[in-house]
Amino acid sequence: MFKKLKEGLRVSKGEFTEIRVEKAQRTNVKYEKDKLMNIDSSEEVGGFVRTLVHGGWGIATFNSLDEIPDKAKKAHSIGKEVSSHLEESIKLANIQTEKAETRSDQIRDFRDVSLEEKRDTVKRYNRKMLDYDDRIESTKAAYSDSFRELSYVNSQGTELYQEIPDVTLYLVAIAKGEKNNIQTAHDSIGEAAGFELVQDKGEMAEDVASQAVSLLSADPVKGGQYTVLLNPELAGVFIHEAFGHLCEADHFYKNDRLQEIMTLGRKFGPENLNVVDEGYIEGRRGNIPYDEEGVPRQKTYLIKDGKLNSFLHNRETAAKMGQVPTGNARAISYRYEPIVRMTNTYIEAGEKSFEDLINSIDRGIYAKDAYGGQTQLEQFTFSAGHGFIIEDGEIGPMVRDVVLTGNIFRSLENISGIGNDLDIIGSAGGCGKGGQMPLPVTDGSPHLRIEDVTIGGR
Amino acid sequence: MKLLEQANKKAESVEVFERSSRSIPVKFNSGELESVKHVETTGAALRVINDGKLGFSTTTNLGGNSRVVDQAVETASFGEDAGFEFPGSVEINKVDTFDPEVSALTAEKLIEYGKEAITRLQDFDPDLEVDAGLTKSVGKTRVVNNNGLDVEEEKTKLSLNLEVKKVREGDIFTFYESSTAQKMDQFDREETVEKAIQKVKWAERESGIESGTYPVILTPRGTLVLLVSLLSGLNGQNVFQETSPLEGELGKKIFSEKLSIEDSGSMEGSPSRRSFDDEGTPVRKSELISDGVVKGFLYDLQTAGQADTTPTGNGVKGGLMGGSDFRSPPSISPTTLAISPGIKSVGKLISSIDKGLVVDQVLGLGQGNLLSGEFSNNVSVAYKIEDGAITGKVKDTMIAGNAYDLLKGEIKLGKETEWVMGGLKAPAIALDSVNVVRKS
Repeated sequence: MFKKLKEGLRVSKGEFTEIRVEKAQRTNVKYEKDKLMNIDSSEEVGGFVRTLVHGGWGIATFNSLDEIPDKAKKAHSIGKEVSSHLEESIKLANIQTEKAETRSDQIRDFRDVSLEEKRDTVKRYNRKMLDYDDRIESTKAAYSDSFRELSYVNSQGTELYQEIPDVTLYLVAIAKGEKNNIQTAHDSIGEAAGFELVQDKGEMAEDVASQAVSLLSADPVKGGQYTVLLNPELAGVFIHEAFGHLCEADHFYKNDRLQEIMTLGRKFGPENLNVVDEGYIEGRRGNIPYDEEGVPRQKTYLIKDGKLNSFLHNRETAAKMGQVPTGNARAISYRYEPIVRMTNTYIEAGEKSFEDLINSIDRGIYAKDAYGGQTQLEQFTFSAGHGFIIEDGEIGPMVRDVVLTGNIFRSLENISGIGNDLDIIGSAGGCGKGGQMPLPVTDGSPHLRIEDVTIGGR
Repeated sequence: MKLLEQANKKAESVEVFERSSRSIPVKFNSGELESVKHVETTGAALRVINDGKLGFSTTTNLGGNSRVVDQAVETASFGEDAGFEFPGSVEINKVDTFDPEVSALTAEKLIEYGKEAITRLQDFDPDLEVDAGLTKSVGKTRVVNNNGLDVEEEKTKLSLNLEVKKVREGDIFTFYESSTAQKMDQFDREETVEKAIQKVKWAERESGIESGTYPVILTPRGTLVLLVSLLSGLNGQNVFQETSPLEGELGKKIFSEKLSIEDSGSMEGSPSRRSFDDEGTPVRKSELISDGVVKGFLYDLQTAGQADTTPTGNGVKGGLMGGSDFRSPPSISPTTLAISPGIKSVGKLISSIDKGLVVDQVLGLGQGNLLSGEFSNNVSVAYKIEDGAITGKVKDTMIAGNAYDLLKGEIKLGKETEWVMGGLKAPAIALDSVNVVRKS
């Protein structure tokens, strides 16, 4: 493999060249209601070459490895053209030369599991949800696995080979009550693991179905300002949306005004708040032993003791801001350039028990599980699967359609309690940015209490 | 075709979807050119039916030595009853989807367009930070099956995407503006930039609105807040599975009589104009809602087979924005959607409101219970209307409601339409009363 890649480096005349080749094999099984909607087993090969010519990037992608030398030349001619439009040359932060092979570690390699077993496993969970209650009108049960082999070389001598396994299970139950009362519940898991992850998940299927049925009798949440208690899954999405994205240096490395706002040492949250992005935690979906620029994984404190401590960088943003690359240059596939992304992002555990957190809430919402979230620099939003009203420290009736929103510069300051029960959760789906979606990441947090959160509703 | 022949030896019924595309995305970060890419992708998707069961596999290796045939055949042995047959040769009303001028665009030209747009915005306000993306692409699609179908189409596309930021301490205003066209003469860069400038002007001041119920005007882009739900309700799959609130409502008037929506894949001027869907079914004009009456739903081959109805030419790979990604199996999606305009200009709609909002962009679109029609979104680009005029932007504000309920009530439609997201032609929609929650 390296031979073909190095041939590309040899013909490239840029001041810096890197070439990635990706081989992927994937399986998908998807049930909807009582039908198998898709069963797919596929392979894909493709690559990416990027050359810096007089300080300008030229990029070309391809599907046939025989085209590598041609594409390297193509990238060179594009880079040359780009550089003629640049006022300032792109510079890359220095990194070590790396040579490494990272093999995957699966307990039960999903490549050795028959299609039939995969199908039957998904079918079983789907059936479990359908049979749970007469009011379950429809379901979705989707399994995916992918095994990616990534080869990377650059003109500074780095040669990397990495195997990235990824397996997910996504379950949805749709319950129907009287006219137009249609409620959806879902849950998913995803890890850099083998088939063992998705075995024995019957309970998960029952919980999803039970959730959907319970939502039929839940009222929509009343809009307003609340003290909220977030469960670890939702708190993880919160920190990803509310702060993680803001730390990605490509949002501001060329923007002086934003840099003035994002000064290292600025206080963002309470003193016991610590937020981490960690490139490798055994089995996690966000893992990248080396990023797509050949930079090894790191543990980066975004917030330490409540203060902004570090940004997430690729080589270009690090060089521009006079900092060090953090191993966060990621791409969803060979068709895309690496951009600054999160990996496994979490709030470190605090000291409060669940009881401590909830006891002092007179009127609030306990919001659980995540539909998703979105951020746009200062504003962010995230949706809970469901919630419960909290009154005088007690959990009350279930509510639905709980969507929370906030302003990055105020919401972290309003964190009033950090639990002691850190959980890092891998789900199906992933993060989207700059047209690249879904990228496998994980989010995590202990239970988190936040004051004065706006919840939309009627 | 080699793949078809190979597969035909091992499967009773075969369909090959072949796609090759080349595109040049040009990106600017904070006003400066960041990168130029040449992206070439070739791939094929193979669907086979054996013993009535459906299998699927894809490959990027078109040379013929891949395992794609064996994999498709293997998946079929565990697959579901297809419930449909691959269609035979059909008469296709070919529309013009290719513009040589777009196809011939160079990176140099795209860079020039990007610089022009950025310069114009920064001339207007030097404090604007502009990320810009320009992409031209040319994609060729061929669908062949062993029942005699063999259709091919080449499409061009050109897009301009702007992400504009105005950063002040304690206030970061960010918005998107974009335009997509299939042909050069439909591509109006200047109008896109003018629209962006209008947004900045309207957002110059910050206006607060206290929590309550107000009239809300959704701009053409803002209509997505309602449409994401409505589209899931019009999806034949959800109707068949009885999870659409519109199931059983065919022929009934359940929306405001002002609401008419159709799907029409070959619509002239559509940035996504096409002659056939990704299964080779000719696209057609489907009335979905007409004067408030539910007229029809969208189907692909598989769901039409299951529901015992006619496919509507809406089997699309990768959804509305998916760009016919060969890796995805076909699923139901609109091709080009159009909402009929009204008679009043947006200016008139605004001037008839004492106190309310104009909503253009929200965060968390589609993240929620789409099927039921409930939405609850943080507005990212919205303005306050006072005494019939826009007085400034609002922030830290959420809107919530139910798409079905709101479209059943009193609505007014603007007379001007815009293309949104490359495949939706929509006017502004004025809603009578929407719940608004603002951080106090």
